[in-house]
Amino acid sequence: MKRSIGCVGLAAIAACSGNNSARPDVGSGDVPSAEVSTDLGAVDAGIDVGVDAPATDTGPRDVGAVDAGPRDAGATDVPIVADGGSLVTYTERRDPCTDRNPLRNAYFGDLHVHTSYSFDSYVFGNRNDPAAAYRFARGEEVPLAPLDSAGNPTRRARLSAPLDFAAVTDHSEFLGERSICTTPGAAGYDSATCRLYRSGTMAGFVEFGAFLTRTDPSRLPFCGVGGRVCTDAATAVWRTIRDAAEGAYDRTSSCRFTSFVAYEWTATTGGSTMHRNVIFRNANVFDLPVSYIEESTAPGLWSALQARCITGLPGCDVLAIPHNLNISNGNTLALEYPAGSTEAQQRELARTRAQMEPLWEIMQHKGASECSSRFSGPDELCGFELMNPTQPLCNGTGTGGGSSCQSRSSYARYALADGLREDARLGVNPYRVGFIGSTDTHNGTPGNTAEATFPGHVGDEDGTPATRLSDNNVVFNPGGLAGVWSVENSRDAIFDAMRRHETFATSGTRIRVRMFGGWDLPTTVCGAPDLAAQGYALGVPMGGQLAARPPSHTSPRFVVLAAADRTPLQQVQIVKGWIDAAGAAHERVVTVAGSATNGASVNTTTCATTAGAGAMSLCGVWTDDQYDPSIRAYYYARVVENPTCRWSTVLCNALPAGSRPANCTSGVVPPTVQERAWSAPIWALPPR
Amino acid sequence: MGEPEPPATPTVIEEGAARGRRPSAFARAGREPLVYFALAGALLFGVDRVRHPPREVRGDIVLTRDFVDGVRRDLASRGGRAPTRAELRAALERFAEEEVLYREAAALGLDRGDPIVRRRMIQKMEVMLGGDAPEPSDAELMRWRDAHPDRYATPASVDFIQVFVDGARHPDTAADCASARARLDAAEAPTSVGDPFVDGATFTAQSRSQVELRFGGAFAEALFNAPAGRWVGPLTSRYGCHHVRVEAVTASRPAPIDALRERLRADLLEDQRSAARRRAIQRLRTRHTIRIDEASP
Repeated sequence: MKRSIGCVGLAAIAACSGNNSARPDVGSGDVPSAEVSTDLGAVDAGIDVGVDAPATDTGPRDVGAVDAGPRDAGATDVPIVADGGSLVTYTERRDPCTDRNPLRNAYFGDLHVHTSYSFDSYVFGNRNDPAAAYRFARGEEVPLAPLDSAGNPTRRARLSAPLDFAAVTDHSEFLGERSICTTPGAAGYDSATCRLYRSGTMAGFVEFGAFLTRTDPSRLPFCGVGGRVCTDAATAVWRTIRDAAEGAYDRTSSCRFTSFVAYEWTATTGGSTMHRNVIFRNANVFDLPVSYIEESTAPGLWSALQARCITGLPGCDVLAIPHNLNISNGNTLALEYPAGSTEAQQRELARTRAQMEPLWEIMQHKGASECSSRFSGPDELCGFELMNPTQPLCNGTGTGGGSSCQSRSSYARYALADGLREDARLGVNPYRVGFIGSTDTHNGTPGNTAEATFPGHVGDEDGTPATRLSDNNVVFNPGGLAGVWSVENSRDAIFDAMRRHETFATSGTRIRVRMFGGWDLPTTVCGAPDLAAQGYALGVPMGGQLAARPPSHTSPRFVVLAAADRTPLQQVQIVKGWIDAAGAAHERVVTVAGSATNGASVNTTTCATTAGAGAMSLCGVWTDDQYDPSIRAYYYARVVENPTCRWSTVLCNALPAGSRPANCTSGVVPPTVQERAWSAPIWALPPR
Repeated sequence: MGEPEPPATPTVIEEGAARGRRPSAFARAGREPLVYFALAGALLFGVDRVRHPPREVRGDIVLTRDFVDGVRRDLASRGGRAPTRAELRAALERFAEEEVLYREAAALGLDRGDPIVRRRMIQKMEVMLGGDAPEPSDAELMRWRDAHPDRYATPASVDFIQVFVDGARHPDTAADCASARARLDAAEAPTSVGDPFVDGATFTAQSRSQVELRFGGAFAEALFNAPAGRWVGPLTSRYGCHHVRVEAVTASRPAPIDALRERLRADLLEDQRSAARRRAIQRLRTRHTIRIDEASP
């Protein structure tokens, strides 16, 4: 058995324990009956150029609508765009942000962060708790595993630039158990399970993790009748997690940092990673997370979140973000419906899914999920940070741990086409999503994505150069970041941006990318200093849906504007995917700015790069002359940096030549990477 | 280093350990996870004897009615029903027997030489020596805040607009930047001059560190020294050339106490506890003669 970790580890457990039982029909739980009020079309309503009023200096306001007067443009000549007068409505008490931008700012965050409160992170030796994770996100230094003999951490880490937002997403399963097993005197502390857990071996991790692969997950015996001992403990832990988020949230008008109360729902049924991160809009949350043990199917999770939060708890709002499609055996985005369900029921389920899951995390520590060179051969950039380049292919879905097979629905690009097919069939696109990246760190170090200084994300498991370069770990990467275009850095504003899919993913770099699509965007828009104002006025941003085609127009136009982080950009591409009249999926990748042959190169011995190649800023306009008004299509941007050394190459170079692990030369991973950003798609649908 | 732990689910409490002593301190501590944990742990383990005279190691073991009630509730909570008389009796016997073993083990010094036990006891001492700091008043919080402007002040910031000339698109960036400036000086609208920049043309309440991250140190230096209300430039960033006009400057100021109260309280209490701990450790050190034979190099 290959020793592995995290979600992959859980998957591996199932494979090795022979637990390949089929997962139950998706949706065999209750189909949500709650009426969902969000009109998915409404969020793309055109934004009018409006007249601004000078913002007044206001103190804290009560909960309720805040008149988001655009900030004082005073003496400036920059036109202000307002979306009908109210840019953000606060659902909890806070000071309005001084920096409120109707044209939206790019904010970077991490929505996938494990701390010592996660059962696996603790076993891996991490002792950074949620408060420490938020301190790290805000730019402070934290300790890192491995621990020395006295239990003290031996390394430290700090971000080169703080994040704008973060969510601690500890595994909701075993929050209480982990606490009990590490708190002397707690009921169950002396149980065999807890003793094994505290031994710090993988056996302790497996003891818990195996529950997450079962179709009938249950609590451990020491949790007592109904699991009360453990859920009571979990309630207290959850309280601490909420307090940590509260402590980190900047409610002043400075709006320097936003935290989200959040957790991870860790369904690994039959070994397939079907995890979701559950992110709450504000501090109005329920007292105990709905974990895999309470709800073992995604529709069950959505139902519970709707019943217990959206409709059941005043002020509560929540969304769920699937991740690691790449190791799901195609299951996370398998379009399955309860046997015998009517079309109306299927439509309702698709609508619920679109409502509850507006984003996909397509880049993280355990690989990229945009596309695979297995399915998009001609697109060379699909070979990027693939976790499973050699697994067998499966048609539809498979079971078994460690990602037993690769399906088209293991990757966003192809699953989006499945969503379009559903849109044609049901009139609802269940996969009307935006993209984000995040780290999935198990060190409590959100946003720690730098290749050159990557210290690992899994505590003791990858805490040394030798373990990081092992067969199991060398295929991992430092993870991605979540980008949002938000009017300000507050919970409500960022949550709104996530809901309207105005997000982008990066592979860890801080590329900012804007994308607009519309019928009236001028071909010269890349020369317009007020590009964003024109984009919002004449089109829709990333995540939006093109307005109905005016009779006078035949082709939609797209513009992508990107700024580099530190490494110059090589090219900007637009990826178009569509289904034809027969329902077959197609894809096309067009370079709209820059060039793959710009002369950039990297010396893999020194990691020095060619000076002068590439651009720090790129802008491209593209008109889709092949646009067919009768078909459904999506368009997303991919912004690619010049090649740089992969973290593994930097690490190998730093080791004495004689003591480099085999993977420094094995070719298992490429020596270089091209860091990148992906915009959320813009959608083109025929009139209903 | 003690990770703040959520409170344990209490099981059994030793006789007399928790009852009737300093409820206010306990209530205060309940708001502080680390202390709560330490207290809970201390109570559960009877280690708070440090502050109280140690009891006879060999002596009577009395399980009082309160204690027995606690065990009964615990069994009921775990079993989902009230325990039978026999079950309760067995649990109490077991506890009593364990207590015998615990006291004998302690008397034999079995806690010595075990790094885990040593570490835990040190941690508990450290928490305990921090003491119970009194709840700080708002005035004290404000004094603490003002004494640490680097930690709590809202940094100085500027509002500015920019005109950007993209270095990648203009091989002769300097010349094109100069002509952009000429157009601005001729009162042309900045929205029609230069190239689009991904973050836009208008920046509000930008701290120096934010500007440095986006545009670099030299740019930030020039911007924060620029006079308000007129075009300044060219400023250079890794993206190209910029002309900026500062619209407003906001000086560094203390953050409002309401927004900081919890953080200030936690930081101040931790500071007081840590000072108390240092003093206590110094005091305790005087009881011991410490000799260190340094190894020869």
